Amino acid sequence: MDKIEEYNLWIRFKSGDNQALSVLYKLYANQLYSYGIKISREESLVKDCIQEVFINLADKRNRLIISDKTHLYLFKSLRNKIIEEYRSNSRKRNIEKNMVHDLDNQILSAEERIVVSEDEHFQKKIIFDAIKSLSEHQQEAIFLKFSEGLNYEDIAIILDVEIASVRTLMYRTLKELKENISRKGIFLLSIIHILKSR
Amino acid sequence: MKEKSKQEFISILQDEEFLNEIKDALVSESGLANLHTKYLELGDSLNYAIEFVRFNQSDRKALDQVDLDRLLAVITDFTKSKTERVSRRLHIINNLLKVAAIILVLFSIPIGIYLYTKPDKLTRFAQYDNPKTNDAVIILSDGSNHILGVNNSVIEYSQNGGEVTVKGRKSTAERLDNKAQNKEVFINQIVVPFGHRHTVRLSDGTLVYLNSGSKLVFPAEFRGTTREVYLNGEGYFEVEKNPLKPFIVRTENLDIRVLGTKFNVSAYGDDQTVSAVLVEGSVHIFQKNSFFHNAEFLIQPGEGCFYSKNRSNSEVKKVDVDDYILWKDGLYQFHNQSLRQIVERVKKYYNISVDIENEKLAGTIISGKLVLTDESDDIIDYLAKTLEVKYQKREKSTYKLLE
Repeated sequence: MDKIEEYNLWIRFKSGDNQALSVLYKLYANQLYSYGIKISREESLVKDCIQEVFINLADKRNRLIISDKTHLYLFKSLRNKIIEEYRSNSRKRNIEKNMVHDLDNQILSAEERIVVSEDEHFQKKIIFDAIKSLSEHQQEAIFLKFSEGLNYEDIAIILDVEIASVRTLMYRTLKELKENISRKGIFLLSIIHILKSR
Repeated sequence: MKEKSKQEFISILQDEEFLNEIKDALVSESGLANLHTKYLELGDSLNYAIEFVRFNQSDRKALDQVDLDRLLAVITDFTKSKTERVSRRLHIINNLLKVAAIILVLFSIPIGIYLYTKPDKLTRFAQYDNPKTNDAVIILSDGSNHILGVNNSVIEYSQNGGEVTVKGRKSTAERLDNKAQNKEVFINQIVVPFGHRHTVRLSDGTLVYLNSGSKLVFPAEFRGTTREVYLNGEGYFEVEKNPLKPFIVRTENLDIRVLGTKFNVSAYGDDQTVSAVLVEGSVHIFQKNSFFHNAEFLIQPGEGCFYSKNRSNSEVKKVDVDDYILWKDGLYQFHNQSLRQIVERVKKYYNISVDIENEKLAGTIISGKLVLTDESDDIIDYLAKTLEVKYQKREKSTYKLLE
């Protein structure tokens, strides 16, 4: 779907066409889900929030400003919705539990993979660990920039910050990533050495 | 990872073009091998960059089909129930408003006589019988009639509407006093009979070309917050810009609201279709077939809004604007239309009866322009000559085209 087609779709949606809403939903549901999972690991929460985003969208369609950036509004409101849920106490404990569980998994799989220790797997493992060691916010930025392929301007709209802040965030993130890679690389290399020397 | 390769790794990630090159290379096994040979000196940094791109490409989660459908169902349910809720609420309000409207109307009959500035009175005025005449008539503020003896006259209102100048094509201008006897009564009308066209410049500067068989009802001076006129028939409007006072053309089925633009409105009482075609600017069209629940359309230059009385709904489509407005210059333009369609428009313009001898002749396809002559005899003669056919005139204004 090209930009103009998508623009027309938004226009149709705004003028009350609910068919256009389902097309937009199908177009963005998976992208939003991938993004939401970066912010909260809790799948059911992300799904609920996606649902709410679209319901709100339909509810406020009269106030929606249609441009070639309207789709960013979906990412932005999903983000706000999830953060809102984070802040409400009922969800908090669940999220923490989820994150701890996730870390356990990573440590287990790391040990499994080292044994394989082929070059490519080795590098893959290092990148994986280096990214996972970044903060949630940094991982979110990596996702928007490199998975979604968005530019700094669009990322700034979604995160609701200045473009300069996005640049700083991205620079710091890449720097930390680089450091993580060095550290993990040395760490893993030494383990392999130990394993091999046995 | 050595310091140098660390730097390289960062710069690779910041280089959009390089990232795209990696993405392209990832598509095939040989692409990746080529990339390695090409950037041999990058060593490990390239490998990490490739893994980084790979990771981000695969870093996507998809909802399974069951979840996708379930969420969509909830969302569509919500939008449906919302529309229903709104329309039910509107329905109740509608009924209340209808009752209120009836009460208002009952009260407003005596009051209405005085409140001539209210928009509704335009419509009421428009429903009054017109003087029976074959000539065009202006009905002035004091209720007196003035007959326009010459076709294609230009009627000009002064800025406060207190004076009217009538100019024929050749004759000298004629000045009419347009003072109302009663201060409140200042609704004017122009009635154009079949076969005639006239032009009127309203007190705000707006120019209206009126086509054959039309009636325009308007105040001599536009007081209040809007400029409203009522049209039955066809008119081409060049509205004087005034963002503070929207100009509204009311017809039986559509209201056309503009700030300043050029457009054509065709709203004959006996036509099945009412149309508004835009030449310049933008216009807002309100469909009036249901009480308080108006459909709204915003049309662009080169588009027309066509309301069908049979189906009670409107359709917006692209048109050749000239087909709709050339009449103001005394021409009808046709694009691959059958003689039957052309004769329909000629009949309408002159209010005459024209028979066509057989189906074959009626189906003849014609393109071009047709000059709207003063007399119907001339146009039938012209049409017959173009088609190389004969015609009979049986009695007054009844013709037959013969093959």
